[in-house]
Amino acid sequence: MSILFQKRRKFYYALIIPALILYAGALLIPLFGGTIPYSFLNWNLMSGKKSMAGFENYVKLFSDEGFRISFLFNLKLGVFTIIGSNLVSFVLAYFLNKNIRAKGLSRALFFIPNIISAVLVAFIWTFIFSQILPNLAETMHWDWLGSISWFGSPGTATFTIILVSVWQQIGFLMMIYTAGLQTIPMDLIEAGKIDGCTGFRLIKDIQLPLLMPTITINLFVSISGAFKAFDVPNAMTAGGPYGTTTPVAMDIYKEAFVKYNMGYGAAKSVILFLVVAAVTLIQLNFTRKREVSY
Amino acid sequence: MKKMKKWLALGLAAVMVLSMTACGGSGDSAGGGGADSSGESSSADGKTKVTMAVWNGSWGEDLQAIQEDFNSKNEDIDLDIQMQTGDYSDFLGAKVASNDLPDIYLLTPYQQVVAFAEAGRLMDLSEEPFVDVVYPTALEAVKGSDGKIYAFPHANEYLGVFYNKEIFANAGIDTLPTTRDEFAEVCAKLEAAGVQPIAPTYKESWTLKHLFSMLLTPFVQDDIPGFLASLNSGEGTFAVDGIDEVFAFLDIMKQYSGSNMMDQDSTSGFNALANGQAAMLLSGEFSLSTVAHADPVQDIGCFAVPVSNDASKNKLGADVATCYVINANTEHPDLCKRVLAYMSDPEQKWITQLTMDLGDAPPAMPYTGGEPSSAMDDYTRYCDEGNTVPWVYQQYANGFDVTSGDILQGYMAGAKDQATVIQELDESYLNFIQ
Repeated sequence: MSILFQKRRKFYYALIIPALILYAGALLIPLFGGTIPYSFLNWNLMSGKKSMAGFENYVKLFSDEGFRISFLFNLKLGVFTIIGSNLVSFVLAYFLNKNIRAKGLSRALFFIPNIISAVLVAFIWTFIFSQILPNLAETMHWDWLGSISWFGSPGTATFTIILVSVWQQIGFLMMIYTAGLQTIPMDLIEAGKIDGCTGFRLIKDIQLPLLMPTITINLFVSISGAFKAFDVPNAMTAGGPYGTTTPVAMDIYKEAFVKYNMGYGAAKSVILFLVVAAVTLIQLNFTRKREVSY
Repeated sequence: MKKMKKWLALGLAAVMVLSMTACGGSGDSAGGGGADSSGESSSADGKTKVTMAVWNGSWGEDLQAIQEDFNSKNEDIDLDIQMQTGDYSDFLGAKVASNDLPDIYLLTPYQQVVAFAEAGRLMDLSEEPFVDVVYPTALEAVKGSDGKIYAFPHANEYLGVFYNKEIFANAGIDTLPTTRDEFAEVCAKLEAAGVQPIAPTYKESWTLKHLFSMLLTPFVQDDIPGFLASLNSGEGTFAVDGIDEVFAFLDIMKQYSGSNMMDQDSTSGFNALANGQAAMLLSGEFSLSTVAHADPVQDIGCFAVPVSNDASKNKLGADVATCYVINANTEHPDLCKRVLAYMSDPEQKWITQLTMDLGDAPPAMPYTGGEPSSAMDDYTRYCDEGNTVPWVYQQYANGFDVTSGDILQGYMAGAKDQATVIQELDESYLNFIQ
């Protein structure tokens, strides 16, 4: 701590206050004044009846089949989209960082899905899956393609959501990877090449370790994105078939605003909040340790 | 001087933060300014503002015209009809939670009206003039548990089989099926004629909640209150007499809905009927709005779902699907009642405008005008003969209707058998009764 910092400490704290007030108003107060207390209530929104439930809502959660299914779906969605989108976007960023023609244009094209609204993206893909692919199959006499019911079974419906989520996310992640790749000093890479480190080993031993800060950010973004997923599943399958592609966020929404169980919905959100916080803390810790400085 | 700089920096930090809230906040006030604006606000020309919330539909332009008509005829009221984009149940839930409901708003009849009335949110409308004009059966849908009338049931809607008359004639079908076996024969004939018999909509589970209700109601029609009372007591079951017939009918539907039926939603299903790609659609009169926009407009008739092999059981599902209520805490009860009187007068634009097009729901009272259509003729015939039944799903415990559609989706997709579906329906119903 420098002397200057000590001297101006009060002023520095004062600078945080406006943002802190906003943060408190938008997050802390609703969370500690609303969601958490509500989660201990039996509160039916339609009848307006409230009564203390204690930990009843939390106990009920453990035997709730629907919540379990949504949680597993979130995990599936998370694992595949996080790995898929990070892999694809890294590969894209890597090759678009080389000296190829129309580099800027290609980057822009890959980025476009990210600036289209997720709901619109989902509608476009729904149209492709339910109208274009069957017609294509019919014209080309590809019976194997025509016989796939994209939204009719949990497996295929989950696949469509993963595919669209990955497709939509790669642009953003690619941009961050590109920026990360460009911060790696050329001399390090050239030194590596002189020492005989080329091709895949160059990526694995030099570029990836130096990219760790970028990977930290990207994993953080994609993990929290996967747990908060709502718009794409909502617009593509609305949770169907028979509730198997309902992410936790949608399950909470339905609990509170469709089934009108406000208290139980609040308990579910508290659990989701804790899980996301835990997962991201572990991840930050894990990847931070692997960051290298030069 | 230095101190001033500090204060300036602090001020700037605050301004930056506040400018962010300003951007975020404007959306909120535009989206949900309900009764808060109804309080003491009167517009510049001395009119008192009365707010009304309805859900978003294809009636935006109609409502605009109605609002202008009403405001031009009433010098002291500024009626403000707000269309809720997005999910209406979400809007209702949020408004209830913040105790900020508009002066007049839409509800679904039966359970929702009962719950809102019990919570003291609704004004008693038993003495309003509409009570004398509306069909008595429609009034049953809007009574509270105390027997008082709490809502204006503005329209009847009907669920049944909508069929393309020309396709039926071309396939050599001259009599409509009245039993399940006849229905299966009709489907086979249509398929032999190279037409897809049924337009599927099964990707969206709300269409299945309608379907299940349509198929189930004929078997409980003699004692609907008893059926629901047993469900609400926690002892009831969906395995009623005739449930096998319901699933046998679903099997026929699965057989004749095309190969990718689970990928088709209401939009594609309604379009298939409207474009003549499919001969039949099991849905409501609202699907005819899509038919009206196709070129050429197909001639679509309607008949009761022949779910049972006992033809006398099969009746058209006609019921009140939406109703209007007045906020018990409104500051302008008399003005709200005048709006309601306007809405229930068959001579006024509310009814004339909202019955103009094919696919509009018929008012739950005698009226003249409206767009003539084969389906309307069929509906009127069923009503005159007394061959209608209500929609049982609207009387389930609040919120279960949505779940019933989700569960049935498992049967349509072939993932669950009849026993599993019934067991899941029974078990999940228990979660909705307190």
